[in-house]
Amino acid sequence: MANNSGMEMRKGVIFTFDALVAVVIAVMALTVLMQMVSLRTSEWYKEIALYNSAQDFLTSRDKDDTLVGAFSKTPGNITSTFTGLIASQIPANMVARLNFTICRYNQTASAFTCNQNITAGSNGTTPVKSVVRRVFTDPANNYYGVAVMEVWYR
Amino acid sequence: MKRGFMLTAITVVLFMLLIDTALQYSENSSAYSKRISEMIVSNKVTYTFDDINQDVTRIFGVSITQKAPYLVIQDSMPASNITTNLGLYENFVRNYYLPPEIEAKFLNSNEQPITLNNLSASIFVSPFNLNYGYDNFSKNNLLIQVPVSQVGAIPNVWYNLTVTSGNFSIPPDTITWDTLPAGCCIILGVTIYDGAAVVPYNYSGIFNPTNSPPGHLNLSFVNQNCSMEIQIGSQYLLNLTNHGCNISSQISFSLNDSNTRIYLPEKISVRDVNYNTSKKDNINLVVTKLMG
Repeated sequence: MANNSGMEMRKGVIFTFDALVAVVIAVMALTVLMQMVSLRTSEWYKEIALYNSAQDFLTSRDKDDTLVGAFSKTPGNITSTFTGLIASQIPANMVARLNFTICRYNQTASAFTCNQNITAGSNGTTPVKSVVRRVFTDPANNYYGVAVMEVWYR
Repeated sequence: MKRGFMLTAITVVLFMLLIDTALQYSENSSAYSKRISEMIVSNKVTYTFDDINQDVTRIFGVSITQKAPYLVIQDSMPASNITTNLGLYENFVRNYYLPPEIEAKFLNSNEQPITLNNLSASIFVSPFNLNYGYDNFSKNNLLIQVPVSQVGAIPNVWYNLTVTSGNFSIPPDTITWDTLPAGCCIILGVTIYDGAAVVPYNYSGIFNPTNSPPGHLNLSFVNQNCSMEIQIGSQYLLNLTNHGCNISSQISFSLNDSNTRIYLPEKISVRDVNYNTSKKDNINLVVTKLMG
């Protein structure tokens, strides 16, 4: 009788021990999961910061007519001007690249003639995290342009 | 035995609580991610809306500045190609600017889709319902009106006009009105420069836009012959008709409410098709607000 009781007691303890090990494993799994979710959340915040920086840069350059000024510049001048502006105005932990599409409406051909190969800023290949676009125009001279800014963290 | 089972039961309950917490945490974080991505999308939609507004203001050819209590609209007459440029701009925006997930529509005041070159040549200033507009985009007939109920909200108006294409046909100090603006109680200032820009013509007085017959002034210019007609009254704060002059205008109002909004009757609707997030509002002209 006493032996049976001792046996059952041992079984119960083993079972409990087994369950406790399972709980410990589950807690560890949960901790890892929470860490991953938390990392993802901070990634979202970082993306918002990237997006806002690019948006502020393009909005300011549109309002002070720097973007419109690109219409009267050579591709080389556009690249050097905007590379300098990016270097001085984008936060140091961010990297940016600007791609311009500069078009002029050709009245004879009734079509836009565009130069889409103007780039300023970094040539890095890190996966881009945020993209902001801005349209600008000089209607008196039939010029229309789009600046596409790609930004990512160093 | 009993103790073993007790421990087992407690462990099972704890384990279930753990699973429940994990599930709830996962649900919350996915809702949070959704909120953040919606935030970025709303930001993008609003940004696109503002971007188009800024360019429409530029194509309109007006520059609006506000330094309370003054609102100043700078403009030039005549204008050419505004309708064509609006059409080209829309074409460019659709083909080169808007990413596939963003959709933009232009709507008339009845919310029916229109093309951008069908905008009306009228600007409204709220909350006064003041209308600054033209017969059409050739900008040869400037009409400024305000409802009778709002006359008291505009204590002063100044019309500064510069005719760059010619000189006064008679000395400015001999210029006279056919009929003087009359009535009470908007304070009026009119200053007109000619191409020589040495001695301007100045007039100051008081008027009421409902007064009839209206104040009427006809001015002729030489060197490059042209003329313009100014009427003040008969429902108009200003009715300016241009006959061949190049005119730069600076129209100033003092307003008793600085919380103004300057807009066109037409609307823009911008929508992100993936998230079905949209913004629809009147086309707001960009106003430079000065402090101090």
